[in-house]
Amino acid sequence: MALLEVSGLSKRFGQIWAVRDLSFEVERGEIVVLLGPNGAGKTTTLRCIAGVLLPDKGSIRINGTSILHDPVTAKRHLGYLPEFPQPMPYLTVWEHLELVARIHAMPDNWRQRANELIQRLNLTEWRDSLGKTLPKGVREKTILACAMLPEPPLLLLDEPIVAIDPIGQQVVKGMLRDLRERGHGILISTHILAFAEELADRIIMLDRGRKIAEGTPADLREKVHVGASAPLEQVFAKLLEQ
Amino acid sequence: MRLRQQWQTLLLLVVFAFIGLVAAIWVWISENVFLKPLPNRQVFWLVLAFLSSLPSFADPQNFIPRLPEWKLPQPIPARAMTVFLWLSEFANLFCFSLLLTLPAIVSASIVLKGAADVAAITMLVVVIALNACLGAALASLEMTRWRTKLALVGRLWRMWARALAISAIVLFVLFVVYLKAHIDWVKFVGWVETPVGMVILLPLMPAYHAIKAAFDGVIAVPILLTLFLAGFTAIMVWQALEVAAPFCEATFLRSERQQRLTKMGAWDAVTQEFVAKPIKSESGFGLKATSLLWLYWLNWKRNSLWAGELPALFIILFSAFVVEKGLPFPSLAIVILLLFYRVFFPHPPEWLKSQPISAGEAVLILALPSALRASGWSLAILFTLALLSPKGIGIANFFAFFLAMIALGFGIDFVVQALRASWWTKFQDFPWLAFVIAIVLGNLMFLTLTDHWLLGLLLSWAACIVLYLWAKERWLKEP
Repeated sequence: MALLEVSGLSKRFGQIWAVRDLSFEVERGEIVVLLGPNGAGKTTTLRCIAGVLLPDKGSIRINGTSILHDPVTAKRHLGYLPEFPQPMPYLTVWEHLELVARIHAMPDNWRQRANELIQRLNLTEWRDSLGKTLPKGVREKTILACAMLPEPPLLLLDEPIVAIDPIGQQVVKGMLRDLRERGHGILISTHILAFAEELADRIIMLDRGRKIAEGTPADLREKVHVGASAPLEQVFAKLLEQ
Repeated sequence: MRLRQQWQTLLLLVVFAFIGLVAAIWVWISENVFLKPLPNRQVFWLVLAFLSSLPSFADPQNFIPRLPEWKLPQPIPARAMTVFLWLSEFANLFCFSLLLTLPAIVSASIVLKGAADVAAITMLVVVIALNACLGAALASLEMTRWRTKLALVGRLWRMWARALAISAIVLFVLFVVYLKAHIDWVKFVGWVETPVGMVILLPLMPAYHAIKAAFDGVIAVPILLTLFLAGFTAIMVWQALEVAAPFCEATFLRSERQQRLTKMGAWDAVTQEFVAKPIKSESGFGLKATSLLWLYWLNWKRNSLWAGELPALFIILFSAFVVEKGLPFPSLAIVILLLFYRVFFPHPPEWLKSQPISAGEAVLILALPSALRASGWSLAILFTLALLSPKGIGIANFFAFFLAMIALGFGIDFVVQALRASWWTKFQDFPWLAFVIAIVLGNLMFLTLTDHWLLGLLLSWAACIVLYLWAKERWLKEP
């Protein structure tokens, strides 16, 4: 059984299908990257999987539990970083972590884990700053720390490094690799192709809500008949042309 | 126009009609005790004159629209951009004043006279528009430091209007304090219409007499005052046009500063004069869904909402104290204050919604403080009325009111949660909103017909359950 099973997922906004009949899986110890042009349906897919949007059709199972039928149990198995991470304005960074620990009813050793995350993400100087005073990158790191704190088997990350400085980006990439080594599944949506190339075990390419290609970066290169050293931008453009 | 925008416009009209309807009910309920005698009516006019003249003394910075950063380097002439800014500000001020005052005036004049005087209402709309125009012109003069020749007159006008506003607040407090001392209101408000009173209150007089005309008919005085206001406004607009370029620049700079600070996440901190220094993180309470109460507590404490608790209680008790025999006015005050409190609690962001809490529990727990607040206020009202009313309050009505107010507290919170999720843009909201209006009106009717307390109580809780389902549905469907 895969960690995440998405089958026939469809979501419509008015007359427009944001996602249509999308099916894919994410295994344990795997990083899957969603790629696609603006409006391809990447964020909507992540929102449906995270349980913040109800799909119109299809099923989503996380660790064997359907997010539609038992959302509370399914959400215990996921951590989510939205595209626009908004901390609560009147909570400090540390209080955000405590809130998540309380919601997940984590045992008392959550503090040790929270301190580790704060140190690793270089949030020490912001630990006691209110959410409303945080710069954009720090907001992103704060919500990322919240997503990682309960160590969920599945992480859903929407543009996870877009506002983070280069050193922070290296740290985040390292943390994601560590999580993969420890058997966590990670689903990332991004426009940064170098980031996708560096981390992705598998890439799912979306366009206008539909899956147009899926495979390892090498598979995709083969599919569009370009050389092994061709940049991912070229693969991306060719797939969209096709 | 897209269908959605049409519905948004319709929603605005519904809200407008709702305010008018509430005002009419209020006037109808209080007809015999409040608005019928002339001095009370004059106080009513004076209060509405203040609201209609709000642009004359309001802080202009709150009404000027923010310019998006991409517009700053566009090759748009300063004069063209200024006209756009003025029009936007004028529209804001005009709609604001109109929405606040017109429904109450029209409703009251219909209730007291049986018909609205169309000519007088038209003149009133013109006065409100002139005030909005004057406010826009004074705003640009103020932002450019009153540098034109005749700007001093505008500055004096604004200072004068602001002094009157401060005096009005002082008088309001005195009104509350001396209410039971049987102050001679006839003498007091009669002074407003004497030549001396008219000169002292000149910035308010065009609006005051235009409102009065809606009740007493159009005579020479309101026409002359409207002409005076039109002339004065024209001079101020002419002066404001002289400073179009620096005004535009000042607005650009203000917008740019605001946008840069917003990007840095420091705008709130600057506007609230809050230094972004670290504070002491606190230990939380609650587990799973109940930990959301900790969230509420921190927001209440750090957003200084506690500072509003005593004034809110004062307003509630004051409303009970003034009306004495009736509950509708205090319960309307509860609705408004609950809405006021609720909008200061941020809508749960996406990452919080992805946490393992059931939607039903989250919606209920987030509404709990509103229900608690409503129950506390309703008890305060009931004990005040029990002390003041010679007959006291029947035990059934006591509990009916108390329980209905808890339902209202929950209900208002559910409405805010649901509407903030969809941000007033959904076609499906219309029947819901109509339902809410019906429930609030139903509640008010029930409170006036105390013999039907059981019906009212059942209606309140039935509405509360329906609104809960609505808020829950929105929590699930909207990010």
